[in-house]
Amino acid sequence: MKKIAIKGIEYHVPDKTLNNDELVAGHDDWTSEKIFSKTGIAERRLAAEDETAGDLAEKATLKLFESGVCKAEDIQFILLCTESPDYFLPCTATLLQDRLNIPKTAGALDFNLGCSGFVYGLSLAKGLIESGQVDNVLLITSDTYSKFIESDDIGVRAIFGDAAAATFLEAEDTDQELIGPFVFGSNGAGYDKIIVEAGGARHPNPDEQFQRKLLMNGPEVFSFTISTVPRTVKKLLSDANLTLDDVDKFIYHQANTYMLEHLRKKSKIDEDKFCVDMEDIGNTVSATIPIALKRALDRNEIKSGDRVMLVGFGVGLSWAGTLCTIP
Amino acid sequence: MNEKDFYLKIDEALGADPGTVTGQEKLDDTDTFDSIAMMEILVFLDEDFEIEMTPEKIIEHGTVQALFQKLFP
Repeated sequence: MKKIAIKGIEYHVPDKTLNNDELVAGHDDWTSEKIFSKTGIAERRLAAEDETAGDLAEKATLKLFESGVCKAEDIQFILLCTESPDYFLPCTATLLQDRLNIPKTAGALDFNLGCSGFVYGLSLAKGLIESGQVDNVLLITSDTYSKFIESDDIGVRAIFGDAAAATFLEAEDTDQELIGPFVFGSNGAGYDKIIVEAGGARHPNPDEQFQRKLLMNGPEVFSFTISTVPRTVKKLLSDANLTLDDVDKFIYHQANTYMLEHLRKKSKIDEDKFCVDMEDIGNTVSATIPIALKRALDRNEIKSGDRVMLVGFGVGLSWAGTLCTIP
Repeated sequence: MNEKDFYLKIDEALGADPGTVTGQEKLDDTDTFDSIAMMEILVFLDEDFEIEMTPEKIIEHGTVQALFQKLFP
């Protein structure tokens, strides 16, 4: 039987850095120590003025090709998760087809999700591959939230960094389920908890009331997360007929250390099984999970045959979880 | 939890000296109340008492004393 498997992950972060000392300069009400103690982030990467999510996606994918895991001519479908597309239209995934010399026979589409996007992308890719429509999918998650954040909004700037991750997913002949089951959730009543209000059709032109900047209600998002994520984990384990002990590693969306530590304790997950890895790049939205997974693989914290739980949550409000066995 | 210990926890969340909070304060009128303080209150309620509350509900109760009385009648 054809089953989807993760065959390779690469990522790219922009060159420009912003550390905590630089972030708080000129803002006496903040200290770099306070930012680090509450976020676990020491430095984040920011896209240059003329650098887009499409550019970061291209570089991450070129690294994937250079790694030898796949070639441009192999790719049959491009899924790009981004909330900062290069253009209002067309979708950035079709531009990437051309820029990356991927065959014109490949399908390509963008989908608009943030921190839950990687898990949703795995689900979409699983559908495409296991239904026999394609043999492989290039799943890219790329965002440049920094372009939406006001320079004096220290609280929000402290959290987010820009990055892209490219994941190659391919059919494998096996009876073993390598990715799944999935648990999904959405709550549109919380649409305004993380939002850029102007620029879309509802408020096309920024004005004093509706601006083209990222607004985040941190406590409301925190409250949503601590009530939703543990239930998602519980349901996922129940659906898979597993317990916490059956999972070798837990990789949640790397929101910030404070939130992750509380989520870990609440679900009673051992510290050594729980991934926290964002200190040098910040919360990179839809790219956090594949980046953390790639780094954990590189550090040999995850080995072949390990079962990893992936949980994404955030803007939407949207959340999703899945289990993934490393081939 | 007794009222005094609850106020000490609120002091901690607000980054205030122990004994600062008397119960009559409205959280959102307090100088050191910010989004981080609210998150610390959410964590304290959830970790210590398994009480899940939205920030809106916490503020809605008015004073710190009213919040305590609602949570620990």
